[in-house]
Amino acid sequence: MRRWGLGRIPVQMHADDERFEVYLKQFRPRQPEPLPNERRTRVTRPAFALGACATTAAVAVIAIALMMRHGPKLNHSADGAEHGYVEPATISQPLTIYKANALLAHAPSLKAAMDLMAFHPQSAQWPKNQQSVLFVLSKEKN
Amino acid sequence: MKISRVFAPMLLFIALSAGSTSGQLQAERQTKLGENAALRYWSAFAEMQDAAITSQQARELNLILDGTAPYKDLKYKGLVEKNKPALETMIRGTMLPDCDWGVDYQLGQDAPVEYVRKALTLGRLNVLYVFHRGINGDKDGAVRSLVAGLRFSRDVANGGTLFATVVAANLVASHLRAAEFVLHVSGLSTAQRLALQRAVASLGPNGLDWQGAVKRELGLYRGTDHGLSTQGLAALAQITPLYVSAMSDPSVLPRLQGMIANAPPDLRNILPNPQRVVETKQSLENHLAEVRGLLQ
Repeated sequence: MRRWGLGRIPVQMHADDERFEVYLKQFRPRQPEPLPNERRTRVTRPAFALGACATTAAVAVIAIALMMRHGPKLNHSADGAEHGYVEPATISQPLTIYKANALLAHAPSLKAAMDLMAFHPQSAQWPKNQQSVLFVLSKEKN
Repeated sequence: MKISRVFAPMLLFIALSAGSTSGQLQAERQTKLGENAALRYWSAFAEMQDAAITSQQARELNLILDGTAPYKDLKYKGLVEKNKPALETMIRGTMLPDCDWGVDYQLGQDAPVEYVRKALTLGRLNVLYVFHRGINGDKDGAVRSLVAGLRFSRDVANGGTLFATVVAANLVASHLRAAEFVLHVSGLSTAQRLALQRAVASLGPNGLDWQGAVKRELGLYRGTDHGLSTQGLAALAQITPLYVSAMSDPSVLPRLQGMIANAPPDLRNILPNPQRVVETKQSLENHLAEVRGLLQ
């Protein structure tokens, strides 16, 4: 005849065992800590940010260098008559009085001056064959 | 003892009065700063929402703004609806009496005027908003947007140089074309017509302050730190009054252009062609007169 339940073997308890059982019952489950992965990510983030900053700075320096080399060039004749822009480059941000006045003085027309004022802040974001509508609206003509 | 008893309350009264006067002045100043429409316009610029369009749509958009292609609401209503909060912020801004863009002229030619570019975009979105409302039968809304758009266009030129005025002129012209469209397509009630009449009349016969813009523009180069030679500065002193008067009297244009042609190259290269400026001004005046006639 079986006197014990499934999976339990009756063992005689000593006084020490009973004390140990009481001791174990003092423990309560605790909230788990975040996974170690997250801590690791935090450690790697500054390094990643530093790398990203360095890359961005390098790209910015190259872009500025290219803009200075290939930016809008004004073409004047000896008598000061305007020949317009050699390249229809856009005017970079921020638009200053100097840049605006240069446009007024040298663009083929006042409408063209507004066209050249256009700036495309998020060109990389648009799919191929599409452009920013705010860019289009900031130009006089496409 | 008696004297101190007499003077003590007087001094206290004077001190309290002075305190309350300065408090009132400060409160008035704060109210004035808060009532600057330019601050609301900057909020509107920040609320503008972009969208991707194809090159074909871009060309079509420019033709619509030029008044040479019909507005297609199905194509652009999404863009307009998306920008409604920005446009409504701008419209509320136009209710304020003053607009000061706070251009930092102390920086001379390096003063940023980015607001001009953003204003051109927002103003054109408002023109599309007028078309959208007009086509959908919201005549009150279309007139409200038109009235606000004309006021906004005028505010764009406020306190700015010639460039801001040229952009403002373009915006006024676009709104006038939209007004013609609304008049032609929808027909307006007497009240709506009157509201538009008042808005157009408030622009005055010239539309914008061209003389003020030219003065501010040429005034920038008076300082020696703007790179003009002594000869250039001397020529500028002679050219400025003539350039200003050309805005009200185009008959001086040949003399002015002769002076510019003979000016030192450093000055000649920075002066906007007065002929073009006068043409833009006259074109706007003619357009204003036409729309005034339509609104009678």
